[in-house]
Amino acid sequence: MSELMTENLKTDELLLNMGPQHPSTHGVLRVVVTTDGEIVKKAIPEIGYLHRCFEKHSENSEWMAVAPYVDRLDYLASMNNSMGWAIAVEKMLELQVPRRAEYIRVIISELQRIASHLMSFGTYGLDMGAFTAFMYAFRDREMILDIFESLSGARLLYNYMWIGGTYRDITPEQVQKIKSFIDYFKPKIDEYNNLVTYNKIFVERTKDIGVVDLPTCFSYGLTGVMLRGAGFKWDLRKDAPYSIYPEVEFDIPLGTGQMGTLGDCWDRHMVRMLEMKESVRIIEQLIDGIPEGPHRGKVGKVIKVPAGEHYSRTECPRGELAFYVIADGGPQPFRVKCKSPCFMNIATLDEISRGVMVADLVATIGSLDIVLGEVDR
Amino acid sequence: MTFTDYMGMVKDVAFTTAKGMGITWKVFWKVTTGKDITIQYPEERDKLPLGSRGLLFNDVADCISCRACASICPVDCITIEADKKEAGGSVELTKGGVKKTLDLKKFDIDVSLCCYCGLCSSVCPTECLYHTKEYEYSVIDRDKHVMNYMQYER
Repeated sequence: MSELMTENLKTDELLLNMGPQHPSTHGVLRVVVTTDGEIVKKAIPEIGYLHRCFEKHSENSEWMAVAPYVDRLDYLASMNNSMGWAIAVEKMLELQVPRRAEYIRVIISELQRIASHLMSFGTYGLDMGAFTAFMYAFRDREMILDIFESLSGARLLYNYMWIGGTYRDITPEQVQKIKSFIDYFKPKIDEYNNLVTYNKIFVERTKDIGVVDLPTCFSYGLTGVMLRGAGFKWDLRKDAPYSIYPEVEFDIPLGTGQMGTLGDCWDRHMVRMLEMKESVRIIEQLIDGIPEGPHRGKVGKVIKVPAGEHYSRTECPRGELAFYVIADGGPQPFRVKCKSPCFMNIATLDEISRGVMVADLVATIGSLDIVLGEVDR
Repeated sequence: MTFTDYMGMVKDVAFTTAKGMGITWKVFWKVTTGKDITIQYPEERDKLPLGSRGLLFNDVADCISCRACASICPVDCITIEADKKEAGGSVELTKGGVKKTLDLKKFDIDVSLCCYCGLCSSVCPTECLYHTKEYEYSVIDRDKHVMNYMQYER
């Protein structure tokens, strides 16, 4: 009977539009999904809804005035972004940044990494139906934002890492604030792991889903958590060190395939949780020994970079953010090319989500941890 | 999946969820017995930190029309018009003792374009352009967001 029914039933593939206003696409991403029943056959990400001509804008801005645009690339990790831009220009100027500025920069960018991973953890919980995680993550992120507000005067787009150093100096009260935050935050990571990461329902939703193997990583040029979640040890803070990272001790957390396949969504989530621990470790090592001195090197009010080109890359919470800058000796850059990690991450969506359920597609997108501001630039 | 496997999974789910709920109850207890966190906004306001970047203000008496702010502005929201001073006129000085060689005619900032990056106030040589702590300046008409600092009243 049942055989007879399925024979006469006409089945067809259904084209489904997910986004751009869907809450679990983390911004204005549209995914054109071809489904066969509940199974995803194809998932093509459509990007470009947030394109702001960053590269063209920076050709018409002064060297200093590019920094506010750089902040708006990955708006959840502004500090890391502008640090990448500052390092790129400093290399071209052959400028030595004061030790105090380097310490402040590394501490602040690690705090920003925690804030960014907290956001990722919180929204991933939200995608999986755990609203509590979202509230807890935002409570702790709020404390970091308060520290940044007292440092720079802004809450989201800081423009704090300037070429040659930092915008403002750090005061002893702010150092104390960071210390008390670290003391508060350290036990929280294990709490979150017990709350969400090791929860059986969460594990069942995320294991064996969205598996990224190493050949996929290399062919798509994946970096950051995606690559480390697949078990490959690669972190620019260790492998191509910049700033004062060679002086601090920390480990690179890797995906282990503990709950299912190596490189699945759970592995990537776990790597983010472990990276927060490592960031806390880095801050703890540096916070007591901030050397005295100026917080900004000697830079003129109008910066003129000597003609030449430079490729500089830094490790952002989402992967390698790189700037390829060409200068012609004028007050403005001649060309700026930005290589964003999120663009590579979202490109893999089709490959890793074929054959999963529609609900698991949400889990996959969440674990990619994309920020559309950086994908579209 | 056998029946025993299934029951084992149910046991795991119950155990790990109970563990999570324990954490939630601990936080619930802390929040309900602790002090209030919410600020009742229009009645009470959060204290802004020292260097917070609010509405821009230009003290035109001190401005030397050097256009440093307009040239570094990433969004070009500052409009400056200035003429050369007439010969034989009185010499004006700023508070810091800088001689004003130009006659400022217009200093407008379109705050609906402003991105509050703080670059203009950092390059200002006489420190007459700075961020205030004001953040409540919504208007009905978008044109009213162009701040005319030559006749500024607020």
